Amino acid sequence: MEKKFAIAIITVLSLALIGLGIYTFNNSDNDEMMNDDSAMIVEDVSIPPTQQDDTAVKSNFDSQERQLLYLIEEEKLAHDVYTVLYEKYGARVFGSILNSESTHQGKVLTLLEARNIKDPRIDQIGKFQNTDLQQLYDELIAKGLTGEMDAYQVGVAIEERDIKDISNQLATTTEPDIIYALESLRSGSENHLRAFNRQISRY
Amino acid sequence: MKITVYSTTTCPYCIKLKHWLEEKNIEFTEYMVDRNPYAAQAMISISGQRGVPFSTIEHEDGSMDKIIGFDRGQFEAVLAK
Repeated sequence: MEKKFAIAIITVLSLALIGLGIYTFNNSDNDEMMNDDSAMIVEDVSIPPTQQDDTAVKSNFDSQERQLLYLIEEEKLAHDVYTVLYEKYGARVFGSILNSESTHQGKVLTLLEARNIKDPRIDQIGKFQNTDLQQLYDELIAKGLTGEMDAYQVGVAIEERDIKDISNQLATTTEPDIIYALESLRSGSENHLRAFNRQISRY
Repeated sequence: MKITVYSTTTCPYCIKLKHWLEEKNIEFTEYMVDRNPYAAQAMISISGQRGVPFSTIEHEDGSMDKIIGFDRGQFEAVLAK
């Protein structure tokens, strides 16, 4: 009896959604509903096209693309620097944060793939397409290898830079998925910054 | 006016909505929520639900209309504002 009642409720809800022209999505299970055009049978009304400045749209896309390409390599820089410093000092903070930096790269990669932008990363520790980041990596490694305290300060410098760059990008983007992902990245970098500052205060 | 459509690759109503907008020469930005988890999270955050198509129409005065599903009448009313 209860089962019949549940089936009846589900059927009524499904029909209501179909009537509204809504398709429920599920990341792991795309249950396709019956196609019903009833919600779309409305007389056509001529609507003027919206005014769009194509140059501005393209320019904004280029800017977003550049920022995402930079960001994924910046996250790789953090990962690669922490990998080298972990091997040198064996400090657990580097080990745990470098794993997190891999996750951060994955988040930016999702944004790149959603826009069909090619992943710029070179599959080699300490190698970057972006020449500024290549120079920064070399400088940070040189400093980080001079002593453990310097290594933690390198961690602070990287995380502060990440937070600043992410905040700048957040200030200019209006794309909801980028905002969602970057807020998550910034929160992660703030945690990393606190972890490095704790190490310095204990040293 | 800025129109954003959240859709999936397989949703028939999403395809109909996009064709309808294209026929009207209405520009829109599309996010595939089944391929882009951050877009999915943003959509759920904005709309409070998981149904697609979900559309937002941002007006020049800063106001935003939200439309769940493909309802031509509702779209026409919002676009005529």
